[in-house]
Amino acid sequence: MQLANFTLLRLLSPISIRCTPAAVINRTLHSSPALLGKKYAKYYFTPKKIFRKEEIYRVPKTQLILPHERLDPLNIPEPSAPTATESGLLEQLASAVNHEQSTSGRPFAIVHLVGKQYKVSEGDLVQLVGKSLLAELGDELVLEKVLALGFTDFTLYGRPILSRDCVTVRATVVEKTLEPPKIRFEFRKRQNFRRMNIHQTNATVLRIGSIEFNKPAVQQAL
Amino acid sequence: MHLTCPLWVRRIPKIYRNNDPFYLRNLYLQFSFLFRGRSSRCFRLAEQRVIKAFQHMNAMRAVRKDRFKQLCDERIDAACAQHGIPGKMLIDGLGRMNIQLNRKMLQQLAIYEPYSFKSLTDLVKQYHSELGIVPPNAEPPAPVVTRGLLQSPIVPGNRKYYE
Repeated sequence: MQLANFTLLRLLSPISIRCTPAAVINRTLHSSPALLGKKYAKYYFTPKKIFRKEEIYRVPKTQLILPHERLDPLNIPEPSAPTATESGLLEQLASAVNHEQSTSGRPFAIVHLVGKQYKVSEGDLVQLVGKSLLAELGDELVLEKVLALGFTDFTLYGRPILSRDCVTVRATVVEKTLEPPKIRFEFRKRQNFRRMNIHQTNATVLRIGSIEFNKPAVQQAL
Repeated sequence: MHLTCPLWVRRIPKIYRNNDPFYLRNLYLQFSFLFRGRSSRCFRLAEQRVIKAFQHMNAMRAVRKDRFKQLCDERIDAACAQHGIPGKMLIDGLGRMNIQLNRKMLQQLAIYEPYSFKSLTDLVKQYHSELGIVPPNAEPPAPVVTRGLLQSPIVPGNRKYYE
């Protein structure tokens, strides 16, 4: 059995049945001051006041580098000299990089953003689920964690990230809203236990502008 | 039939007074809108079906992630088989080289960017051939310029693979 999606849109305010956390009561109070009773406010569907919860994305500690894992900057290995066949291939790659024209094809980039990866090209819309950025509407961002770049004749893969000099991926914040409401319903049989929570998380939408790559920086890396 | 005012109007709940049962029942009936037969119209049947539907929804939440992961693995495996590599070898090899692309991204590349995917498989074949592992039924890889850097640790997290 499938639930009709549009019925959820009608349930605008967060409702809890037989379980009213304080936040729900506060919201109903704001919307309709007549409903002051905790017991009866849950049965009303009041028009929603769209408010955005303040959330800041924090990098969890498990993703940070431990002290015994830090790089020794003095011991980074240098590349050995290329052989004859390898130098020929490198020349091919350099010529492909030189002759790359963004008008011919549509370049793509794989970007790491808010814990997830997105395959992105010009004019795409990206929705960040569950998080609200500190950026305002209309702000232009540069997405720096680029894992891979692709063009018509060659692709660049970062280990794990490409350097900032090589790439710039620009995006603008287009929309900051709430997602459609989601329902969490807990039921235990024969125990008179039912809990329903309707919650909406924040969502920001970015429009990707342009993907530019710096030819001299890439050729220097080769 | 003309109903008098108190009967026609639903009791509006006030503090410390009885409320109308309409509101709770309407909540369940809103969820049962497109159900079959009287389960969409009668509250006593709708309540049961709606509760079961919610339980299905909750149960799928944990399962959905596993199913998506299975899908991605299947697609990657199918794309790698065209190049003579098992799918797990690709994911393991990329992890050891510290190319941290998702399963989701790898399947997108396999579907929409076949040449980029081929270059990834060539990298993995080169990595394993340097260690002496040759996957069976595999064509020899396209020449890969490594300059001795493929086996070296670029980022600290992979140091355990090189010790």
